[in-house]
Amino acid sequence: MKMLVNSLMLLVFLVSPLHAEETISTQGESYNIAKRDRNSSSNRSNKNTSRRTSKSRSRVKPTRDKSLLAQALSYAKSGQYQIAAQELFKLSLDPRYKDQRMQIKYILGLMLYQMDFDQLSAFQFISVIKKMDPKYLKQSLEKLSMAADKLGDDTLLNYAISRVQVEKFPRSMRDMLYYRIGEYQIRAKSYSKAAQSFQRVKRTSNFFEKAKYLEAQSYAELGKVKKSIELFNDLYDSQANKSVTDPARVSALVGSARAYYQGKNWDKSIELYRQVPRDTEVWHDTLFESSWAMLRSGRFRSALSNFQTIHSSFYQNFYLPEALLLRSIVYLYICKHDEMEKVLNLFNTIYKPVYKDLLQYLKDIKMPSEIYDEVDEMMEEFKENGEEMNMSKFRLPFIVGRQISKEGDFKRSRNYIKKIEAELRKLYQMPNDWKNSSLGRYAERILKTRLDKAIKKAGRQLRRHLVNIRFELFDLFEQEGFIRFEMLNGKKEMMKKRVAGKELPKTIDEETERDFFVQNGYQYWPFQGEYWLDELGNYHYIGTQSCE
Amino acid sequence: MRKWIPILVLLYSPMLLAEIIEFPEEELAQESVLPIFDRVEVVKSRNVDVDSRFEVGAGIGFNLTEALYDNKSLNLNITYNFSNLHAVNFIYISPFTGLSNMGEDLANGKGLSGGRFDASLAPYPKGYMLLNYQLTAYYGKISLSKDYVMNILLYGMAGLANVTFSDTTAMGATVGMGQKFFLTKNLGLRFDLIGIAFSGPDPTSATNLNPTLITSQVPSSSLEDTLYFRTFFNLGLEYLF
Repeated sequence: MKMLVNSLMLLVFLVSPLHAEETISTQGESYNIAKRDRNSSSNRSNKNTSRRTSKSRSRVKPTRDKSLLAQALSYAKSGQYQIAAQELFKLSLDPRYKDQRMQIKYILGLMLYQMDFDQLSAFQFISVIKKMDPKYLKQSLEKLSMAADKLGDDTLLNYAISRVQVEKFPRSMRDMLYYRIGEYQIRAKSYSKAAQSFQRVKRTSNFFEKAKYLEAQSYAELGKVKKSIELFNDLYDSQANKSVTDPARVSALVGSARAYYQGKNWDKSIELYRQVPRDTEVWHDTLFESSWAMLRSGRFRSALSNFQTIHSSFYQNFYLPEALLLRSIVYLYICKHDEMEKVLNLFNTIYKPVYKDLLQYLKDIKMPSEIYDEVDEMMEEFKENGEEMNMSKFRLPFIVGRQISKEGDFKRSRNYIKKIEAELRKLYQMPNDWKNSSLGRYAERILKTRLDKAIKKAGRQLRRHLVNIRFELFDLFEQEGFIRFEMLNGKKEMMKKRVAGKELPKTIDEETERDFFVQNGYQYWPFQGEYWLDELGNYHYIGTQSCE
Repeated sequence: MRKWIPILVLLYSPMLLAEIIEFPEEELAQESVLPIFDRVEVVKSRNVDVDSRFEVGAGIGFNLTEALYDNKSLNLNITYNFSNLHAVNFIYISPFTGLSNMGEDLANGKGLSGGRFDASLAPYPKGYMLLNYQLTAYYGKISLSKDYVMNILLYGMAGLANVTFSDTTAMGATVGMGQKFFLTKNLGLRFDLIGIAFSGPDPTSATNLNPTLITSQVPSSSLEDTLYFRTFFNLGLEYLF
């Protein structure tokens, strides 16, 4: 395990040089501020009556020094966090307190944490961890985990993990550690090692559900479908007493359905997909995924029933190019060439302009922060006005912006940025003397730097997703060409039969006298172009195939 | 009534020679929960989209709480929809002239211990003009047969009324509710239930409304005012422009 952690340390430094550099530069900043602070304090002391105090401070005796620290600690104990933080910050820069610096930084971190300055507090804990002071290391790791958890930022935590051996972590944090290590291993595509790390997370841990899910996923990546299903089932069973919409329970269900699909057990996969509750976020994805399973198992009518939902107005601003092509393939299988052509034309009508706009956007916009600002503004406006928002004012197509904003890495980054922005706002709302103090100025600089870097990082993530979408669309246009060729071929064959005088089956549009049977207790009515939320997922295609 | 039964049976019986498709039970709805979206919108691509559109309609109505005068009326209405929820609505109700059966009986002295009481000799409402704010509470649909779906709209309204009497006018307040059944995307049946409160001359306060003694209508000034609560049930056709 030691070897693993050591290699991970190396990996972290290689993978996240940005963060390492940032931490170092932050330290640099703090020393600069220290110098400036001392200069400014001496300047002030030259101008006013505090000169005498300044001089006496420079000649202060060790006992006096201790009393300053004792006073700061007494402020902390009595809950006067603002004053305590200011005093502790000054002491942390004072060379006379070199020996107690780790203690001071740790307590300063606690004060800032109490004041809801999570990012600032995390920086204090990080600097304690960096020095590896055994007296405060475990506490700092623990507090850093809490602050990082509140911030939703794992880069700080991962940095700490890279610096510390597993044994030095408090026992209570070990599960978190194994989980994070597993995450790294997954990113590095070391699925086998990742599965082992996740396995070490105890069932009682808060990380158990996520770890079990990722462990099962790791086995799926390794092609060990049976083991993967077994683990998903284990996770599902462990959540049996929870609500049917419990995210872990639903994730287990979806993971299991995907694993069965991977194992080409289409029927079981469809059965599990159907069990996913509609009032969960993931249901929309399962609708499309189950359509693939239906197509593979030859259930064309069921697949088309799903498409009636997926291509309803509720999804008109969703990025679903593949679903249109899949629908056209189903039509190809049942020889509905006219319907197929409509769908392919729709695909081109929607996605060709999207592709063109995307190319132009990627060409014009190079700054990551600009991409972030655009997507952030888009999402804010969407949150406020819904689909009635003015989409044309954005250079990025809305459906693409919405799609990339849902990517996990970007969501985490944006969430973190919002936390930093909130922290910065909180700082500006602090009393003037605190805000303008050396600690206040230090805090502002740290937060602004973090914000700037986080925005750039989020922008880079977005750009990467945009590039992926560009490649994906290019690939899908190629596939559209193949499908269109098959459609023309099918049409040609039908024409040949018609010319040869063979009777062709009626198309659905010609069928007027049809009926269908549903179980007692169900009601049904024809679809007349209007989409209702409570009807989604309940459409049933009643056409028949037109092939001979 | 019995003669309608075969017609109803024919309407609801399955079509002959129909092809039957059976749905596996697991494909039918297992639960009645709604999917989650970023913003909740109950319906998309509405068949009846009234946003920024005028509606004009006409029909007949009944004054459900009128005892002395003929309770039938004609009505015209015009509505402008600011959105699919909010609208302003003007209704004109023109009551039929004359007395009700009970009013006729009183005019002929039936049930009176001597004398006659002809309410038509007192001023009575000749027209009601209502200006209402209309709020749509519900838009939905109803399937009366498996092949036919009708959109429905339930709304409430409140506003002001101007009641015209033979020789005076009175202001009042209205409150009501209604339901529309859309036969097509533009044409619908409208049913309103409206309550109107207004102050007007009270015929029963007249010292004498005996037609044998009085030949012309008494003025409002000679009668006491009273507070009326009238309930109208209107129905008619409406077209959406």
